Amino acid sequence: MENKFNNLIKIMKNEKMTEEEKASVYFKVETFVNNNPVKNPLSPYLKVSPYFSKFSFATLGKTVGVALLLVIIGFGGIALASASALPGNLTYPLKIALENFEAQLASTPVKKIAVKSKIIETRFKEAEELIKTNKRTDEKQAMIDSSIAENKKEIEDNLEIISKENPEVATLAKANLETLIQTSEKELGILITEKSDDLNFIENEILSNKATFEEKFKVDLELMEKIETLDNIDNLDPEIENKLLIQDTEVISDITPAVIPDLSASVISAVPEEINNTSSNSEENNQTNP
Amino acid sequence: MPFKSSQMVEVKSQNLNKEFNASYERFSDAIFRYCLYQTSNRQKALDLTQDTFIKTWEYLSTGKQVENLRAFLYKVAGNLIIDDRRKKKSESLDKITEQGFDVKNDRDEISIIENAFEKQLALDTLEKLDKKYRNAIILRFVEDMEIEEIAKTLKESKNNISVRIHRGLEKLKIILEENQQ
Repeated sequence: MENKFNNLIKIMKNEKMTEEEKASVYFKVETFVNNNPVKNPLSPYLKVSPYFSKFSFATLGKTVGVALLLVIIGFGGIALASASALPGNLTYPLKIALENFEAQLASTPVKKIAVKSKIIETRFKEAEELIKTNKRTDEKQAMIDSSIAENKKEIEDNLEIISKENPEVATLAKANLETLIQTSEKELGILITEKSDDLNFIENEILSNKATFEEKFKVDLELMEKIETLDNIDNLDPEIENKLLIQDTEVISDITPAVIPDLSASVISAVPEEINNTSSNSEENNQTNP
Repeated sequence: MPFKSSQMVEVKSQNLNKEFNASYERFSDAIFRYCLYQTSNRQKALDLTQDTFIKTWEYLSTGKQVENLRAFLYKVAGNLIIDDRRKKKSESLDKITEQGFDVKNDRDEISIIENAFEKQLALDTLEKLDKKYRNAIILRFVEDMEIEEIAKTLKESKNNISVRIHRGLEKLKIILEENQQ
């Protein structure tokens, strides 16, 4: 019995996917993973799994604390509602209310800093979006600036509390916050300049094209006027005749009907003679050379 | 260099991806076996293996905690198997055993046939075992899990698992003797 059992177990243990099957399943899983990236890779509320990470919140040392706080300041804590609602949108007040609610839930200075950092980051994203979509106004920018300043102040107040126990940590975190804000403001400044350049370029294009259109129209107008004043098509200036031939049908249709029959008549009348001459020549040739 | 939150997100995401890929390499065959011996259908087992890892990623990607990934994968696989059973509740036992292994290779080699036959026999044997005992036997002897780990995976007490293994072995003995006859 033992042999049979061992044999059974051995057979079962040897069972596995073929290389093709394994690759096929992996491909589908990988596709899903790529299409569904990590949503909240770091959260102050997250208990870190020893399996997945060597970083443990439970073993707090000063160096770990610094890294933690710097990461929180830079990362901004848990992702809040999407930045799709912008100042001026109907749902924007709701977004602000949700942010305030989450801030109230934060019970410790570190958690408050995390939430406030995220809010500042969201404000900068909103400013960026307003610039990109040409919806930026002084009033909306002022709203954003005010929110950033307010949340920055609250972060600094909480850093004061932390500095009593960990002055180095608080100092580093504050420096990091300043750098983050300055960098974001600088990037926004560059974006504004680029956008302004884009707008100037577009405006110039419109203006230059407008001149081109006007010039073309003016030529068309001149052409039409000249043709309409002519008594005889034979008096048509060659240059104008050329322009007439390459003109749009719309322009030609604007020409008075009296001119077209004359023009076409003169062309048609010329052709038959040539054809007749050619035909008679060919008949003579056929008779002499069968 | 200023600290960019988007860079931090990227680093964390890459670490999780890397470790998840490693877990696939390490556990995919085990999960496949587990699904195969529960469903007796190779294609179904492949689909369930795929779904197990996908569901696990869905869970991990929201930042939730996983203490023991192997146990977690088995739990997810177990739940998917249960769902699958509910869907095909009306199928007869004959049909289930008919599905068995797919011998995809057309080569008429004796070793392949014998292997398939042995595997089929293994499947048939397991089919006759009650699923409670089957689970415990597979995890203990095929996947070399400790009693404690099996208990956590199946959400049972250690005593229950020990009893199931013991009873499962007794039952298996009878089935193997019947097979011989």
